[in-house]
Amino acid sequence: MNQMVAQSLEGVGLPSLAVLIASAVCFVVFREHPWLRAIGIGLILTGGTIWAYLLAFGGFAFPPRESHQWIPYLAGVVALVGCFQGLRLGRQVTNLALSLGMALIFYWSKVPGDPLALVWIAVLTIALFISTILLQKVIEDRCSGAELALGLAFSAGAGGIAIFLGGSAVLGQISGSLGAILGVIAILSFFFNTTVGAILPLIYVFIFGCLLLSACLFAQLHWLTATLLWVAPWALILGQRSDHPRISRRATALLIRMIGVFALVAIALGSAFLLTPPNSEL
Amino acid sequence: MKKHYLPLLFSILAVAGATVAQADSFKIDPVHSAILFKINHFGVGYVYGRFDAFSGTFTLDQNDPSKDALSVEIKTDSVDTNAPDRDKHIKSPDFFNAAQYSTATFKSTSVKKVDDKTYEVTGDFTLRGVTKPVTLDVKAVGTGPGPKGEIRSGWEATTTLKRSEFEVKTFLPAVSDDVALIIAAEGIKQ
Repeated sequence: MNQMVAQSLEGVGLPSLAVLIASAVCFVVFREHPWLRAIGIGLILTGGTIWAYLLAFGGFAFPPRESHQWIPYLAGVVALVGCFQGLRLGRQVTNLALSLGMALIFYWSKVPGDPLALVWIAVLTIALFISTILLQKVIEDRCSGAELALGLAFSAGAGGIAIFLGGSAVLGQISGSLGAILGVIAILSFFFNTTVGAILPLIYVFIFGCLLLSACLFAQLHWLTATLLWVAPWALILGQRSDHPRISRRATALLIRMIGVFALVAIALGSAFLLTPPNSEL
Repeated sequence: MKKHYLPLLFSILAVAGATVAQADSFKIDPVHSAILFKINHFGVGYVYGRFDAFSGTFTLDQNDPSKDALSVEIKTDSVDTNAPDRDKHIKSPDFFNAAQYSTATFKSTSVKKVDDKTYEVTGDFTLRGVTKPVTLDVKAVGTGPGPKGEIRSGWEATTTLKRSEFEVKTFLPAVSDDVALIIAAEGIKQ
């Protein structure tokens, strides 16, 4: 098999497998303890994300000098914040702080010479903060764990393809890994019929957001594609959660709920193919 | 009679002075210079590339070669491997991250003369924000007047870098860690 393809599959497969095993244990052990389960799932997801980054880039950079090098550290901070957010303590304050922090990662170095950089910091902070509110306050309450995780998974997984087409195979691999990891949690959450906690939306907003923004600014991912992928899970605002005890009913409700997400993801991928046609010459 | 020899003597000295004297500065002429690299692809072949935009200077001191100096700046987004999609990938965060690190530079720190035409030039090579010491094997090609009478000096430098040392680890080992760099420069005396 092509060596590079094998490496990519390994980069996606290994973290997903680890998350599958660890999450299954977590779901079983903490079945009756939603807060502990949420923390466990969040930490497992964070660990999987960090491992996916390690497999893609071969190591961590300290101090981080490029935007994507912040991903492992962002994931750690998000996990820590998410653990407290499970208690609904200071959610909006911590979300705002995280949003500002991420905006600074991208634009702080430009501030001295570029007055527009402050505008971009403000815009990005607001966009990220609104996303966290939307996903945590609005969508999380209207979705089952599986619905939320699957919506995020589709977007992140499709992001892998779009970012690859945008010129960065490595960032695309990490995004694909994130999608696979979220997909694993979605499947487990579906079969256990449980919630997934506050950390998932935060990982999506800040890690997937970092990947999309890096690909737009430093590779050639088109802003339209990135925006469509970013807002795809917002389609989960439509409809009501389904916690029906019968799996077949839950599955049907889940698929219907996903139509809006699928549509936006399909349009995003279509725009990616149109704007940057696939042609690997490496 | 002696007076007739003086103008001749001064003429000879003037011509001699027009060639390379003690410590002369040269500016690299990009039209007559090239920066190339090659990298092993899947262990079956070499991919060659070049940088289309670069600049630099060097100083030659015939009396004390240890005082020679070299400085080169390469625009990373000028990479050209004759494949536009591959060039796009190389400029991305996977390799050069050219949008964030627009230049790669080499600044010499020491020069050692091996023989009349060969030198070892050690310096700091910076790529993607990472600086590592690198030694170039330099061969002098020649020095002399150019088409417009300007003094030109040409040489060729080679070295092999490990791209992983500069945090460019994508697709290792399918695309080799070792990258051969060739700098063929012709400078115009300033």
